[in-house]
Amino acid sequence: MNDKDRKAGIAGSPAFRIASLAILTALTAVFTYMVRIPIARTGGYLNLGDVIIYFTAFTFGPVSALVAGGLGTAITDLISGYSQWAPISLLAHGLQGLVAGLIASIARRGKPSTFNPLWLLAAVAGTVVMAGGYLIAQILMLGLGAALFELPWNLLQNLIGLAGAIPLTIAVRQAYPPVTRLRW
Amino acid sequence: MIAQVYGKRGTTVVHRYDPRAKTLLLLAFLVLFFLPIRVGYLAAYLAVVIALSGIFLGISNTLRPIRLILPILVLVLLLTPPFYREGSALLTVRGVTVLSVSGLMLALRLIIRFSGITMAFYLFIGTTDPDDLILAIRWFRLPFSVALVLGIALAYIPTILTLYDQVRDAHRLRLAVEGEVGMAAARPRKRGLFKRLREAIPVLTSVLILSVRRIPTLAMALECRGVGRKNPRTSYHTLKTGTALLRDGAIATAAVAALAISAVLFP
Repeated sequence: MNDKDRKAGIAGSPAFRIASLAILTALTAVFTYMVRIPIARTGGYLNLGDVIIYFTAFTFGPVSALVAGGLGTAITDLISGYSQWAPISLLAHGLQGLVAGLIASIARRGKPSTFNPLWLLAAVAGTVVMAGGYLIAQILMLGLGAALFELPWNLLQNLIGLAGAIPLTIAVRQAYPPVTRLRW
Repeated sequence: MIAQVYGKRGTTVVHRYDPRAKTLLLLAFLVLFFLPIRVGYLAAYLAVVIALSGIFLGISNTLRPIRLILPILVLVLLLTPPFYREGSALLTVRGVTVLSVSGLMLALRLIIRFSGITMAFYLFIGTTDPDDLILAIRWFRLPFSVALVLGIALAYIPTILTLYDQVRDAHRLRLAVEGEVGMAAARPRKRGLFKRLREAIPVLTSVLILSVRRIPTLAMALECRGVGRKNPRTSYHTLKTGTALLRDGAIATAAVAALAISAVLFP
Protein backbone atom coordinates (compact mmCIF):
# COMPACT_ATOMS: atom_id res chain seq x y z
CA MET A 1 0.00 0.00 0.00
CA ASN A 2 1.51 3.34 -1.02
CA ASP A 3 1.41 6.56 0.96
CA LYS A 4 -1.54 7.97 -1.00
CA ASP A 5 -3.75 4.90 -0.49
CA ARG A 6 -2.83 4.68 3.14
CA LYS A 7 -3.88 8.30 3.76
CA ALA A 8 -7.09 7.92 1.75
CA GLY A 9 -8.02 4.87 3.82
CA ILE A 10 -7.37 6.36 7.21
CA ALA A 11 -8.52 9.98 6.67
CA GLY A 12 -11.88 10.56 8.29
CA SER A 13 -11.51 7.81 10.88
CA PRO A 14 -11.80 8.84 14.56
CA ALA A 15 -8.10 8.08 15.07
CA PHE A 16 -7.16 10.32 12.15
CA ARG A 17 -9.31 13.15 13.48
CA ILE A 18 -7.76 12.88 16.93
CA ALA A 19 -4.25 12.74 15.45
CA SER A 20 -4.76 15.78 13.23
CA LEU A 21 -6.40 17.81 15.99
CA ALA A 22 -3.62 16.90 18.44
CA ILE A 23 -0.81 17.86 16.05
CA LEU A 24 -2.52 21.11 15.04
CA THR A 25 -3.20 21.95 18.70
CA ALA A 26 0.45 21.35 19.58
CA LEU A 27 1.52 23.48 16.59
CA THR A 28 -0.75 26.31 17.74
CA ALA A 29 0.66 26.13 21.26
CA VAL A 30 4.27 26.15 19.99
CA PHE A 31 3.65 29.02 17.55
CA THR A 32 1.92 31.03 20.27
CA TYR A 33 4.36 30.47 23.10
CA MET A 34 7.73 29.73 21.58
CA VAL A 35 7.79 31.44 18.21
CA ARG A 36 7.89 35.15 18.98
CA ILE A 37 8.88 38.22 17.01
CA PRO A 38 10.31 40.81 19.43
CA ILE A 39 9.19 44.41 18.97
CA ALA A 40 12.40 46.43 18.97
CA ARG A 41 13.29 48.24 22.21
CA THR A 42 9.83 48.07 23.79
CA GLY A 43 10.57 44.67 25.30
CA GLY A 44 7.24 43.33 24.06
CA TYR A 45 6.69 40.66 21.43
CA LEU A 46 4.17 39.48 18.92
CA ASN A 47 3.36 35.79 18.80
CA LEU A 48 2.46 33.80 15.72
CA GLY A 49 -0.52 31.95 17.18
CA ASP A 50 -2.96 33.66 14.83
CA VAL A 51 -0.82 32.64 11.85
CA ILE A 52 -1.38 28.96 12.62
CA ILE A 53 -5.06 29.49 13.50
CA TYR A 54 -5.73 31.07 10.11
CA PHE A 55 -3.56 28.46 8.36
CA THR A 56 -5.63 25.73 10.04
CA ALA A 57 -8.89 27.47 9.14
CA PHE A 58 -7.88 27.85 5.46
CA THR A 59 -6.38 24.39 5.08
CA PHE A 60 -8.07 22.05 7.56
CA GLY A 61 -11.51 23.65 7.97
CA PRO A 62 -13.65 25.16 10.72
CA VAL A 63 -13.81 22.26 13.19
CA SER A 64 -10.04 21.76 13.22
CA ALA A 65 -9.51 25.53 13.60
CA LEU A 66 -12.07 25.65 16.42
CA VAL A 67 -10.37 22.89 18.42
CA ALA A 68 -6.74 23.68 17.57
CA GLY A 69 -7.19 27.44 17.99
CA GLY A 70 -9.05 27.18 21.28
CA LEU A 71 -7.12 24.37 22.92
CA GLY A 72 -3.70 25.44 21.60
CA THR A 73 -3.90 28.97 22.93
CA ALA A 74 -5.48 27.79 26.21
CA ILE A 75 -2.59 25.34 26.72
CA THR A 76 -0.16 28.18 26.06
CA ASP A 77 -1.84 30.33 28.69
CA LEU A 78 -1.66 27.45 31.18
CA ILE A 79 2.00 26.67 30.64
CA SER A 80 3.19 30.27 30.41
CA GLY A 81 1.70 31.46 33.70
CA TYR A 82 -1.34 33.29 32.32
CA SER A 83 -3.84 30.61 33.31
CA GLN A 84 -6.48 33.23 34.17
CA TRP A 85 -6.79 33.92 30.43
CA ALA A 86 -7.11 30.23 29.43
CA PRO A 87 -10.95 30.02 29.42
CA ILE A 88 -11.15 33.29 27.47
CA SER A 89 -8.52 32.19 24.95
CA LEU A 90 -10.33 28.86 24.57
CA LEU A 91 -13.52 30.66 23.57
CA ALA A 92 -12.15 33.69 21.71
CA HIS A 93 -9.52 31.90 19.61
CA GLY A 94 -11.74 28.84 19.13
CA LEU A 95 -14.56 30.97 17.74
CA GLN A 96 -12.03 32.96 15.70
CA GLY A 97 -10.90 29.73 14.02
CA LEU A 98 -14.45 28.48 13.57
CA VAL A 99 -15.72 31.68 11.93
CA ALA A 100 -12.62 32.04 9.71
CA GLY A 101 -12.84 28.36 8.77
CA LEU A 102 -16.54 28.55 7.90
CA ILE A 103 -16.02 31.53 5.59
CA ALA A 104 -12.86 30.03 4.09
CA SER A 105 -14.79 26.81 3.39
CA ILE A 106 -16.95 28.69 0.90
CA ALA A 107 -13.77 29.48 -1.01
CA ARG A 108 -12.52 25.94 -1.42
CA ARG A 109 -13.15 25.68 -5.15
CA GLY A 110 -10.29 26.45 -7.52
CA LYS A 111 -6.59 25.61 -7.39
CA PRO A 112 -5.66 24.82 -3.79
CA SER A 113 -2.26 26.51 -4.01
CA THR A 114 -3.49 29.94 -5.14
CA PHE A 115 -4.62 32.92 -3.10
CA ASN A 116 -8.35 33.24 -2.56
CA PRO A 117 -9.74 36.71 -1.76
CA LEU A 118 -12.33 35.21 0.59
CA TRP A 119 -9.47 34.44 2.99
CA LEU A 120 -9.32 38.18 3.69
CA LEU A 121 -13.01 38.25 4.61
CA ALA A 122 -12.52 35.14 6.75
CA ALA A 123 -9.65 36.80 8.61
CA VAL A 124 -11.58 40.05 9.13
CA ALA A 125 -14.51 38.10 10.60
CA GLY A 126 -12.10 36.08 12.75
CA THR A 127 -10.45 39.28 13.96
CA VAL A 128 -13.79 40.80 14.96
CA VAL A 129 -14.74 37.67 16.92
CA MET A 130 -11.36 37.31 18.65
CA ALA A 131 -10.80 40.99 19.45
CA GLY A 132 -14.44 41.38 20.48
CA GLY A 133 -14.26 38.37 22.79
CA TYR A 134 -11.11 39.65 24.48
CA LEU A 135 -12.54 43.16 24.73
CA ILE A 136 -15.66 41.93 26.58
CA ALA A 137 -13.59 39.73 28.91
CA GLN A 138 -11.09 42.52 29.58
CA ILE A 139 -13.83 45.04 30.33
CA LEU A 140 -15.19 42.60 32.95
CA MET A 141 -11.79 41.82 34.47
CA LEU A 142 -9.71 44.95 33.91
CA GLY A 143 -12.17 47.76 33.21
CA LEU A 144 -12.82 49.82 30.10
CA GLY A 145 -9.59 51.84 30.15
CA ALA A 146 -7.19 48.90 30.15
CA ALA A 147 -9.42 46.95 27.76
CA LEU A 148 -9.33 49.76 25.19
CA PHE A 149 -5.55 50.01 25.62
CA GLU A 150 -5.20 46.32 24.76
CA LEU A 151 -7.50 46.43 21.72
CA PRO A 152 -5.00 47.83 19.14
CA TRP A 153 -2.47 45.17 20.13
CA ASN A 154 -5.04 42.43 19.54
CA LEU A 155 -5.84 43.93 16.15
CA LEU A 156 -2.13 44.15 15.26
CA GLN A 157 -1.72 40.54 16.37
CA ASN A 158 -4.45 39.53 13.93
CA LEU A 159 -2.93 41.62 11.14
CA ILE A 160 0.36 39.78 11.69
CA GLY A 161 -1.62 36.52 11.70
CA LEU A 162 -3.21 37.28 8.35
CA ALA A 163 0.04 38.63 6.84
CA GLY A 164 1.78 35.41 7.81
CA ALA A 165 -1.02 32.91 7.21
CA ILE A 166 -1.68 33.68 3.53
CA PRO A 167 1.90 33.19 2.23
CA LEU A 168 2.34 30.27 4.64
CA THR A 169 -0.79 28.51 3.39
CA ILE A 170 0.24 28.96 -0.24
CA ALA A 171 3.84 27.89 0.47
CA VAL A 172 2.79 24.74 2.35
CA ARG A 173 0.27 23.76 -0.33
CA GLN A 174 2.87 24.26 -3.07
CA ALA A 175 5.64 22.44 -1.25
CA TYR A 176 3.45 19.63 0.09
CA PRO A 177 0.29 19.23 -2.05
CA PRO A 178 -1.02 16.18 -0.07
CA VAL A 179 -1.78 18.55 2.82
CA THR A 180 -5.16 19.35 1.21
CA ARG A 181 -6.12 15.65 1.46
CA LEU A 182 -5.58 15.71 5.22
CA ARG A 183 -8.70 17.86 5.62
CA TRP A 184 -11.78 16.05 7.01
CA MET B 1 8.09 30.20 34.47
CA ILE B 2 5.26 27.82 35.13
CA ALA B 3 7.53 24.83 34.49
CA GLN B 4 8.88 25.33 38.00
CA VAL B 5 5.41 24.68 39.46
CA TYR B 6 3.21 23.15 36.78
CA GLY B 7 3.19 19.39 36.40
CA LYS B 8 5.01 18.62 39.65
CA ARG B 9 3.48 16.07 41.97
CA GLY B 10 3.51 17.56 45.44
CA THR B 11 2.97 15.94 48.79
CA THR B 12 1.02 18.71 50.54
CA VAL B 13 -2.64 18.41 51.51
CA VAL B 14 -3.70 20.70 48.67
CA HIS B 15 -1.61 18.76 46.11
CA ARG B 16 -3.29 15.51 47.23
CA TYR B 17 -6.75 17.08 47.37
CA ASP B 18 -9.21 15.72 44.79
CA PRO B 19 -9.04 17.76 41.52
CA ARG B 20 -12.85 17.62 41.06
CA ALA B 21 -13.41 19.18 44.48
CA LYS B 22 -10.63 21.66 43.71
CA THR B 23 -12.42 22.63 40.49
CA LEU B 24 -15.56 23.36 42.51
CA LEU B 25 -13.58 25.58 44.88
CA LEU B 26 -11.90 27.37 41.97
CA LEU B 27 -15.28 28.17 40.44
CA ALA B 28 -16.58 29.42 43.81
CA PHE B 29 -13.62 31.80 44.18
CA LEU B 30 -13.97 33.01 40.59
CA VAL B 31 -17.65 33.84 41.18
CA LEU B 32 -16.76 35.49 44.49
CA PHE B 33 -14.33 37.93 42.85
CA PHE B 34 -17.09 39.08 40.50
CA LEU B 35 -19.67 39.68 43.25
CA PRO B 36 -20.52 43.32 44.12
CA ILE B 37 -19.25 43.10 47.69
CA ARG B 38 -17.10 45.63 49.53
CA VAL B 39 -13.54 46.12 48.33
CA GLY B 40 -12.20 45.46 51.83
CA TYR B 41 -13.86 42.03 51.97
CA LEU B 42 -12.65 41.21 48.46
CA ALA B 43 -9.13 42.11 49.60
CA ALA B 44 -9.56 39.69 52.52
CA TYR B 45 -10.53 36.85 50.13
CA LEU B 46 -7.52 37.72 47.96
CA ALA B 47 -5.32 37.56 51.06
CA VAL B 48 -6.67 34.06 51.79
CA VAL B 49 -5.81 32.84 48.27
CA ILE B 50 -2.33 34.43 48.41
CA ALA B 51 -1.72 32.91 51.86
CA LEU B 52 -2.76 29.45 50.61
CA SER B 53 -0.46 29.85 47.60
CA GLY B 54 2.41 30.97 49.84
CA ILE B 55 1.94 28.00 52.18
CA PHE B 56 1.52 25.29 49.56
CA LEU B 57 3.60 26.57 46.62
CA GLY B 58 6.21 28.62 48.43
CA ILE B 59 6.78 32.37 48.72
CA SER B 60 9.02 32.71 45.64
CA ASN B 61 6.55 30.77 43.46
CA THR B 62 3.70 32.95 44.74
CA LEU B 63 5.54 36.15 43.82
CA ARG B 64 6.03 35.04 40.19
CA PRO B 65 2.44 35.52 38.92
CA ILE B 66 2.21 38.79 40.86
CA ARG B 67 5.33 40.07 39.09
CA LEU B 68 3.86 38.91 35.76
CA ILE B 69 0.60 40.83 36.16
CA LEU B 70 2.12 43.90 37.84
CA PRO B 71 2.35 45.98 34.60
CA ILE B 72 -1.29 45.33 33.78
CA LEU B 73 -2.33 46.23 37.35
CA VAL B 74 -0.50 49.56 37.02
CA LEU B 75 -2.30 50.06 33.71
CA VAL B 76 -5.68 49.43 35.38
CA LEU B 77 -4.83 51.89 38.17
CA LEU B 78 -3.88 54.58 35.65
CA LEU B 79 -6.58 54.05 33.02
CA THR B 80 -9.70 53.20 35.03
CA PRO B 81 -10.29 56.44 37.04
CA PRO B 82 -10.48 58.73 33.98
CA PHE B 83 -13.46 56.71 32.70
CA TYR B 84 -15.37 56.89 36.01
CA ARG B 85 -15.37 60.44 37.43
CA GLU B 86 -18.72 60.53 39.25
CA GLY B 87 -18.95 61.11 43.01
CA SER B 88 -16.74 63.20 45.27
CA ALA B 89 -13.61 64.47 43.60
CA LEU B 90 -10.13 63.73 44.91
CA LEU B 91 -8.23 65.64 42.24
CA THR B 92 -9.49 68.38 39.93
CA VAL B 93 -7.63 70.26 37.20
CA ARG B 94 -9.24 73.56 36.09
CA GLY B 95 -12.62 72.48 37.43
CA VAL B 96 -12.53 69.08 35.69
CA THR B 97 -12.53 66.01 37.93
CA VAL B 98 -9.50 63.88 37.12
CA LEU B 99 -9.73 61.45 40.04
CA SER B 100 -12.82 60.63 42.06
CA VAL B 101 -13.40 58.31 45.02
CA SER B 102 -15.67 56.01 43.00
CA GLY B 103 -13.13 55.82 40.15
CA LEU B 104 -10.34 54.95 42.56
CA MET B 105 -12.49 52.34 44.32
CA LEU B 106 -13.44 50.79 41.00
CA ALA B 107 -9.76 50.63 40.00
CA LEU B 108 -8.98 48.90 43.33
CA ARG B 109 -11.88 46.48 42.84
CA LEU B 110 -10.63 45.57 39.34
CA ILE B 111 -7.07 45.13 40.61
CA ILE B 112 -8.23 42.82 43.40
CA ARG B 113 -10.53 40.92 41.03
CA PHE B 114 -7.80 40.33 38.44
CA SER B 115 -5.20 39.44 41.10
CA GLY B 116 -7.70 37.08 42.75
CA ILE B 117 -8.57 35.31 39.51
CA THR B 118 -4.87 35.03 38.63
CA MET B 119 -3.87 33.65 42.03
CA ALA B 120 -6.83 31.23 42.20
CA PHE B 121 -5.93 29.79 38.80
CA TYR B 122 -2.24 29.69 39.71
CA LEU B 123 -2.92 27.82 42.93
CA PHE B 124 -5.22 25.39 41.12
CA ILE B 125 -2.81 24.68 38.25
CA GLY B 126 0.24 24.64 40.50
CA THR B 127 -1.20 22.01 42.85
CA THR B 128 -2.92 19.78 40.28
CA ASP B 129 -1.10 17.08 38.35
CA PRO B 130 -1.82 17.40 34.57
CA ASP B 131 -2.90 13.74 34.36
CA ASP B 132 -5.32 14.24 37.26
CA LEU B 133 -6.60 17.39 35.59
CA ILE B 134 -7.42 15.49 32.39
CA LEU B 135 -9.10 12.72 34.41
CA ALA B 136 -11.12 15.34 36.30
CA ILE B 137 -12.19 16.94 33.04
CA ARG B 138 -13.27 13.50 31.80
CA TRP B 139 -15.24 13.00 35.03
CA PHE B 140 -17.13 16.20 34.18
CA ARG B 141 -18.33 14.38 31.03
CA LEU B 142 -15.73 15.76 28.61
CA PRO B 143 -15.54 13.19 25.75
CA PHE B 144 -12.58 10.81 25.84
CA SER B 145 -11.49 11.97 22.37
CA VAL B 146 -11.11 15.58 23.55
CA ALA B 147 -9.11 14.47 26.59
CA LEU B 148 -6.93 12.36 24.27
CA VAL B 149 -6.35 15.32 21.93
CA LEU B 150 -5.30 17.37 24.94
CA GLY B 151 -2.97 14.66 26.24
CA ILE B 152 -1.30 14.01 22.85
CA ALA B 153 -0.94 17.74 22.17
CA LEU B 154 0.81 18.25 25.52
CA ALA B 155 3.14 15.36 24.71
CA TYR B 156 3.90 16.70 21.22
CA ILE B 157 4.75 20.28 22.23
CA PRO B 158 8.40 19.47 23.15
CA THR B 159 8.78 17.41 19.96
CA ILE B 160 7.57 20.23 17.72
CA LEU B 161 9.64 22.73 19.66
CA THR B 162 12.78 20.66 19.08
CA LEU B 163 11.82 20.37 15.42
CA TYR B 164 11.40 24.16 15.20
CA ASP B 165 14.84 24.75 16.72
CA GLN B 166 16.48 22.29 14.32
CA VAL B 167 14.78 23.75 11.24
CA ARG B 168 15.54 27.33 12.31
CA ASP B 169 19.21 26.52 12.86
CA ALA B 170 19.42 24.74 9.50
CA HIS B 171 17.84 27.73 7.72
CA ARG B 172 20.12 30.21 9.51
CA LEU B 173 23.20 28.33 8.39
CA ARG B 174 21.97 28.28 4.80
CA LEU B 175 21.35 32.05 4.86
CA ALA B 176 24.98 32.89 5.70
CA VAL B 177 26.09 36.18 4.13
CA GLU B 178 29.33 36.45 2.26
CA GLY B 179 32.25 37.11 4.55
CA GLU B 180 30.49 35.83 7.66
CA VAL B 181 31.16 32.32 8.82
CA GLY B 182 30.21 30.17 11.78
CA MET B 183 28.23 31.84 14.59
CA ALA B 184 28.54 35.29 12.98
CA ALA B 185 26.56 34.04 10.01
CA ALA B 186 23.90 32.52 12.24
CA ARG B 187 23.47 35.64 14.37
CA PRO B 188 20.11 37.42 13.75
CA ARG B 189 20.35 40.84 12.08
CA LYS B 190 18.20 43.90 12.81
CA ARG B 191 15.24 44.13 10.42
CA GLY B 192 11.68 45.48 10.29
CA LEU B 193 8.76 43.56 11.72
CA PHE B 194 7.14 42.48 8.45
CA LYS B 195 10.53 41.72 6.87
CA ARG B 196 11.31 39.43 9.78
CA LEU B 197 7.91 37.81 9.39
CA ARG B 198 8.59 37.26 5.68
CA GLU B 199 11.97 35.76 6.46
CA ALA B 200 10.35 33.45 9.02
CA ILE B 201 7.94 31.97 6.45
CA PRO B 202 10.42 29.37 5.03
CA VAL B 203 11.19 28.11 8.55
CA LEU B 204 7.50 27.97 9.49
CA THR B 205 6.68 26.23 6.20
CA SER B 206 9.25 23.52 6.88
CA VAL B 207 8.05 23.04 10.47
CA LEU B 208 4.43 22.81 9.36
CA ILE B 209 5.15 20.30 6.60
CA LEU B 210 7.29 18.12 8.87
CA SER B 211 4.58 18.25 11.54
CA VAL B 212 1.53 17.53 9.39
CA ARG B 213 3.36 14.64 7.74
CA ARG B 214 3.25 12.95 11.14
CA ILE B 215 -0.56 12.97 11.22
CA PRO B 216 -1.15 9.73 9.20
CA THR B 217 1.56 7.88 11.17
CA LEU B 218 0.12 9.04 14.49
CA ALA B 219 -3.39 8.10 13.32
CA MET B 220 -2.23 4.57 12.47
CA ALA B 221 -0.54 4.26 15.85
CA LEU B 222 -3.78 5.31 17.54
CA GLU B 223 -5.80 2.84 15.49
CA CYS B 224 -3.41 0.08 16.52
CA ARG B 225 -4.16 1.00 20.14
CA GLY B 226 -7.90 0.68 19.57
CA VAL B 227 -8.78 4.36 19.47
CA GLY B 228 -12.08 4.85 17.67
CA ARG B 229 -13.75 1.69 18.97
CA LYS B 230 -17.08 2.08 20.73
CA ASN B 231 -16.27 0.13 23.89
CA PRO B 232 -15.62 2.29 26.99
CA ARG B 233 -11.99 3.19 27.71
CA THR B 234 -10.30 2.36 30.95
CA SER B 235 -7.40 4.16 32.57
CA TYR B 236 -4.47 2.79 34.54
CA HIS B 237 -4.30 5.99 36.57
CA THR B 238 -7.59 6.74 38.38
CA LEU B 239 -8.94 9.43 40.66
CA LYS B 240 -10.01 8.96 44.28
CA THR B 241 -13.16 6.96 44.98
CA GLY B 242 -15.23 6.02 48.05
CA THR B 243 -14.52 7.63 51.43
CA ALA B 244 -11.64 9.80 50.19
CA LEU B 245 -13.82 11.32 47.47
CA LEU B 246 -16.69 11.85 49.92
CA ARG B 247 -14.36 13.56 52.41
CA ASP B 248 -12.84 15.90 49.80
CA GLY B 249 -16.28 16.61 48.33
CA ALA B 250 -17.71 17.40 51.77
CA ILE B 251 -14.83 19.80 52.52
CA ALA B 252 -15.35 21.57 49.19
CA THR B 253 -19.12 21.82 49.74
CA ALA B 254 -18.60 23.21 53.26
CA ALA B 255 -16.04 25.74 51.95
CA VAL B 256 -18.37 26.88 49.15
CA ALA B 257 -21.24 27.21 51.65
CA ALA B 258 -18.99 29.23 54.00
CA LEU B 259 -17.99 31.53 51.13
CA ALA B 260 -21.63 31.98 50.11
CA ILE B 261 -22.71 32.77 53.71
CA SER B 262 -19.81 35.23 54.19
CA ALA B 263 -20.71 36.95 50.91
CA VAL B 264 -24.31 37.35 52.12
CA LEU B 265 -23.41 38.44 55.66
CA PHE B 266 -20.66 40.85 54.61
CA PRO B 267 -21.85 42.39 51.33
